[in-house]
Amino acid sequence: MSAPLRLPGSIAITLVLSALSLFGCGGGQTQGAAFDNTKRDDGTAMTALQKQLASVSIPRAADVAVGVFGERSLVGVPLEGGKPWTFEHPIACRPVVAGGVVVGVGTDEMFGLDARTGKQLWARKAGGCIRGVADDGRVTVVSARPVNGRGGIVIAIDREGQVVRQIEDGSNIGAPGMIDGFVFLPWDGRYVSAYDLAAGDEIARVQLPGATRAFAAGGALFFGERSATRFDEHVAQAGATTVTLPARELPDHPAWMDSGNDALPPGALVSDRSRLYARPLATGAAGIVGDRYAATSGRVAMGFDAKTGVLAWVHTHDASFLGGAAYEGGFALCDAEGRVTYLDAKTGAVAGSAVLGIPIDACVVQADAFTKTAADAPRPLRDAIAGALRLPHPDAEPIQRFLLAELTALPDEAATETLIRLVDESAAPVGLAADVRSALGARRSGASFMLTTLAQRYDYLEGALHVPPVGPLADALAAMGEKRAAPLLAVHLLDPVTPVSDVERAASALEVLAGPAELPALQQFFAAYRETPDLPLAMAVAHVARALERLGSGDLVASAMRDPYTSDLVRSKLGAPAAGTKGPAK
Amino acid sequence: MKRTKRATTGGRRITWRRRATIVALGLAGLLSAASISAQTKGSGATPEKGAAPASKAAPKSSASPTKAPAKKIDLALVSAQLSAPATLALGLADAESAGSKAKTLAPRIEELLAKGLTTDLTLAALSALGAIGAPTSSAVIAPYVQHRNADVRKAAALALAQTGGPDAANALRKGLRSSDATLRSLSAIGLGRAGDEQSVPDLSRAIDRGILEAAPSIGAIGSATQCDELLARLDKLPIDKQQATLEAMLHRKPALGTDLLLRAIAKVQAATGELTRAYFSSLERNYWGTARVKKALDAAAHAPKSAAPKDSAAPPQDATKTPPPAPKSPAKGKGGTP
Repeated sequence: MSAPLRLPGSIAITLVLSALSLFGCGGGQTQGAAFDNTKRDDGTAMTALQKQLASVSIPRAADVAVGVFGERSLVGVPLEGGKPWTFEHPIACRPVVAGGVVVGVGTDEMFGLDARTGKQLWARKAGGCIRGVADDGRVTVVSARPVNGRGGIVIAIDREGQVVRQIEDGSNIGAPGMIDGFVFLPWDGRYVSAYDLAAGDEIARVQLPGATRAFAAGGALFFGERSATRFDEHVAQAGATTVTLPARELPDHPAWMDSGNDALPPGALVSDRSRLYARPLATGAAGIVGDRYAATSGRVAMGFDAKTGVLAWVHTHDASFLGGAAYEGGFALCDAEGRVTYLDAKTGAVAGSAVLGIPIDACVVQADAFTKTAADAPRPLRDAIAGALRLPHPDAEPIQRFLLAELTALPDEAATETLIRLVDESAAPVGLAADVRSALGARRSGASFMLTTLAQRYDYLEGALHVPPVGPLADALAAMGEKRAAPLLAVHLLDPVTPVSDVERAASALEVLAGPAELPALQQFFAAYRETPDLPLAMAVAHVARALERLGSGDLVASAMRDPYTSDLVRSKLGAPAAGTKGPAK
Repeated sequence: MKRTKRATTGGRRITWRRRATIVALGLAGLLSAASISAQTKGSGATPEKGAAPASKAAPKSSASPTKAPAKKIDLALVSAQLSAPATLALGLADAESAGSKAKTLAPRIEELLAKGLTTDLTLAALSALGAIGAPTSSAVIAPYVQHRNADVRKAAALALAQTGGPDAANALRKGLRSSDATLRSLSAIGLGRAGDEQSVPDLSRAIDRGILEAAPSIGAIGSATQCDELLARLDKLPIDKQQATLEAMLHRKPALGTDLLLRAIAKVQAATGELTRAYFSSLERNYWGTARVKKALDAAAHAPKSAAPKDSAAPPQDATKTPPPAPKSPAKGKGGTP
């Protein structure tokens, strides 16, 4: 296939204007076999087009956050700061920002605003909802979902609001991209067609399974949804420059990008609160800028290593995140209170903010040339996670569970101290408290912190009215074989202020850890509670009995099985016959 | 016949409760249930489930326990009872009734307690050892102050107050630190009874923490200096605690110095006012110490109405709970200390 004729922009516009006069309805007709999935293409045309456009610079888009509030109000603010603008118009679907324009639709009218100022650029009659927008500064290309929900409509509108090209097709046409008069249209989640806007003809296509949207970032064009494939010399090859984010099992399964085939409602969805943000590299090998991607889950934002998926930082916010964008060096995240917070990609530290000035229902952020980083030293990850675990909101529990698992997996000994503090201060929400205790019990490092905590005792006279988390500490220290814990556990075993469930776990640990020095305490416990009819205590007695046997005091246990003062429950736990029945005592 | 009757009409728990009542009565002078209740409220602690309800009626005054009279005992028979599970409860009850006369049975009961018994039998054994009152029993009783059952803890503290000795003192000092408000009060009282002077710093701290039963105990066992320090803050205590402290100071042996006692009398008289003449009269009748102290008590007993000096003590801390009775007639004479 030969390379198509490249028309200078001015000539293209002339042709478009001619087409407008021809068709009167304000749009040119499509030509050729666009969106024909039987058409064969070996990628040669797309490679040639890429070569042709390689030297064309894609203008940087406006850095702006736009919020939706109520049923007919938009508010926007430049990320660099400045006075927010507002615009009143019925809003039927989520507006879309592309290049320098904001496109919205409502009550059968589509409108374009200057993204930086909110000034209306054009308006025209249109229905449906917007899937995506591309803008090169002269023409805005809108991909819309038809009112009947099937197929796709693409409309190219100039700054005067005139439709210079209109395409209607039965294929699902996704979010478009645009370079210098060529529109890139993903369709049916499988192909990306390059469309010459002036000629009204498809001039190349490439097969990219899963691609539903095209987007520009950092001066490059990408196609994708779950991954991003750069429009470069490899785009039509098997080894295309494609980057994906490492899979992490995050609550609500956040996506990097919405499907370009969907049009979003005006208000935020769950998928807006839980989302991934990353910026693919515009040059060089496939990758993510700064090797960082961010994820939000309600009030929590997290930074991950883009290669390994390892959690790098956590930021806890006072409002739910609704939208955002990745920029060079950070993430601009917009919250329900109408603030845009800039987080340093490397550390998660707050680098600055902008204010929309009003609580919002949804938010769209575009950051292209914008950059802002923080010089603050990174907060220790364990402390940052602890901050998120203290959030009292029930809807935060899923992400808190994820973060708790991350905290538990940290090899850092100090993470144990963090967990101890969370348990000690009952800082985690009620629904998470048991998980935090379990996490502490699952730790296998930080013995010194555990022993220090275990040495604390209830002492009314000294005003020490706190009981340490004996059970989880006993579990962990026993698993670690930490024999220094034995005397401390023996003290808690005998202390009536220790919850009975913790007594059982202390006894279980002592079965493994106790030495001769603990014999008096074990004997005392066994004597005091061998008559118990209560299950947890009986379990504890059985553990202690086995410790006594291991330490050479089996006679004491055997003797206790021969008299009637040992409960049948304890006997059963020790495999001994019930009192009054014949059988060998263990 | 007697044993048969008990077995058929009582049962272990009823038998224990009856005996516990005897022990409690025996320690009536030590245990002001009302005081315990007040302390519990004042300290903000929540009484544990199972703790005995506190009576509102405070005993008049007494620094010495009034033990039930010991009965004659067939030691050989009781010893045999203690050796058989079926008769153990009876044996423990008899040993308790015999009191110190069953001293030779203490080692056997200690052995049983050390090996562990059912809850009812544990309570009975603790009561028996308490009644026998052998200091050697304290080591075996001591661990039960930390038992998870509140009744057992209480019985152990009561028993230790009777057995005394260093082991008792150590265990009761631990009791002061317990989360169980009743046990803290019993421990404070028991330490005074056990006569362990080394406990005074802990008892003093206990007063700061609202365990007001510690004040009479300091009065009973503290040095002159420690008692003097206690006097300095006596007016911060409720009147019943002030009176109990004065009584403990008056009846202790060896006796405190006369000047200290005179100041204590003056303090309490100032706090209680003219309507406690009968109280001082009772103290005077039962006091056999120095003539000066007896005379001071007599003077307090016959002090003119409105005898409280103008610079008398501040109102008791819990005056709202136990308000001093209002004077029946206007003051007639000038108040003063004896």
